[in-house]
Amino acid sequence: MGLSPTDLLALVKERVSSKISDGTDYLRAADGTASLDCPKEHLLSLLRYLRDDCEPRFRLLTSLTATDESLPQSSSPGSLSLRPGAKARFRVVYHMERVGEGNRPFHVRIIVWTGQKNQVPSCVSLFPGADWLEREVFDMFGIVFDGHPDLKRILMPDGYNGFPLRKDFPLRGKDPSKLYREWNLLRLPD
Amino acid sequence: MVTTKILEVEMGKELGKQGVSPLHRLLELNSDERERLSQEFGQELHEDLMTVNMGPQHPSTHGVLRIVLTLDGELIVDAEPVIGYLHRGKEKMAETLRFFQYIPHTDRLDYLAPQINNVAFCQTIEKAAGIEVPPRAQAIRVILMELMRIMGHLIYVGTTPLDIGAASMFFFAFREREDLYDIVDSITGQRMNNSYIRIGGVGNEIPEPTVKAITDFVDTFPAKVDNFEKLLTGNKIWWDRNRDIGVLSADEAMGLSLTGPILRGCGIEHDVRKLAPYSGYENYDFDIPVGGVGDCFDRYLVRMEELRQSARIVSQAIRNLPKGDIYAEDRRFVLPPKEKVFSSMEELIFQFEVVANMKVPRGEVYSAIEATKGELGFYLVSDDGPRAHRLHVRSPSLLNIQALKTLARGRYISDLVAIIGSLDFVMGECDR
Repeated sequence: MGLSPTDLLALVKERVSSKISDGTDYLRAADGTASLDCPKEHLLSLLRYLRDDCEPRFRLLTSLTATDESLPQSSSPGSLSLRPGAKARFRVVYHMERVGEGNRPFHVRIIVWTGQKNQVPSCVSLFPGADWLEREVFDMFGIVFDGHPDLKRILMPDGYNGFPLRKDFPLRGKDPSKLYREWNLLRLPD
Repeated sequence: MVTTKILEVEMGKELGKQGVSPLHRLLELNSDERERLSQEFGQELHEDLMTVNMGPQHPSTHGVLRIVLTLDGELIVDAEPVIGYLHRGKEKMAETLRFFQYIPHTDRLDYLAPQINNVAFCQTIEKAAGIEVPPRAQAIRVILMELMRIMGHLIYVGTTPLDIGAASMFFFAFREREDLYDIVDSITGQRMNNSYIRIGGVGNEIPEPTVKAITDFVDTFPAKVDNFEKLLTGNKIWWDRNRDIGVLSADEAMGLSLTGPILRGCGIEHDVRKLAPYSGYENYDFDIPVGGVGDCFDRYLVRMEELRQSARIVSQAIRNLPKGDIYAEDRRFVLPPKEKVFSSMEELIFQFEVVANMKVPRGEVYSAIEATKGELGFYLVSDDGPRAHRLHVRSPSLLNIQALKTLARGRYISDLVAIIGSLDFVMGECDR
């Protein structure tokens, strides 16, 4: 009973877009969750389909995060080298969850590849709860969500310079005198 | 005036929007905004609104949460939670620590119920590496997790009435917590931050006297919950302060990605223990309490019933504790028992190999469990190495605090204290 990962992939290919591919080509899903690699332009329609029309309906956007797929040694800007097989520098990873009793599966994973300068569509219009999750991804990785109502830092202080969870951010942090160079941009209202 | 400046961030050269602190968001309303808000709240707003910082050291915010309140008299026009004061970079640390070195760090997430975090993390590694945990270790984990759930909910039962003005509940709840601390201390050796769960099992056996202590505790505990309910449920003040305060509809709650007692308080039977059982929860008989209205009072009732159900699970688990090992016999990932390490050369080599060289195969895993505050998930990307390539903590507290803004708008400051209490969050888990 329920959908296997291949069934789910075939279903969204048919109903949403044929450009959605299998995310396990890049990374094995060790938990057996369906992993849908979705182009940015189809992200919102895929999320809407999974939330409203799919059977079972995945009504919770449980988690939204990102991973940095660049190799740590290539820290100099401009000459970034990626892990073998990576399509871009960042993967934005969404997990959706079924609510209440129903058919399997319980989770589904959606992956969106994005480069440094590209923006990912914000899904706050579909899931108000994505507000802080997207702010956190912006704060930690510097990924910009297009259409987010109030994209600003959440865990790090306003004006902080740098994105801590990028692979080229040093573990011991940076020279404190360089951290807050943008601090003077913070102006109180006149 | 809100100053927002788009700038080229030097590191990486992409566009980032850097906003000002939310301190001055709504101080000056233009007439359109004022009219819209007046209609929303059903009363005429004054021209000058006041901004008040609640926290980060306010006692009722339960940690270092700051809420920037924009007030018209006592009416909350806007409440903006500001978090990050307890941010310790736990996710970054996971990328440089070996997997078992990270277990103590998970204790510091929800420090009121540390074993649940331990299990959530170890389970993620076990899924990624394909380790089978023996039934006895699973049962011990269930016992500890449910005792921790009781401890976590007792904090709620103790402190929320204290914030609202019923000081005596605090002492009743903390008396029970003290008994639990003694039990946990005798099993794990520490009262807080126990780090007792290991990848592939648990740290050590439950001592024989503790089995009796746990049995006694769960036998007497439901009667004590009845006593708590006598003090609170029919209490006029408690009733007035919680009824119809902070109402969330089921759709709103799902949209805000809320889980745990808050979502169940809205009438949705959603519990990871039932829907995607882990650690042998399918073997126990328990009910999922749900509310109807979705207000603070429903959340309170759900948590009260969960106290009883947790005691019910522990009572089944401790009476039918399976015999056998408490450690998986998988020498690639699991440390050999200490007594064997000191007497056998092979085991010493295994010990060294696991400590120095344990590699989790390449792949990604999302593993969720039902923590006290909601669904606690770990998303792990491992790269065939001894450390995580990326570890993300899906923290229920973060999303619970996010709901504060929706719930507080249009209410009064005194209600805010009840709402904060009913959302039941821990800043250590929120900020990570």
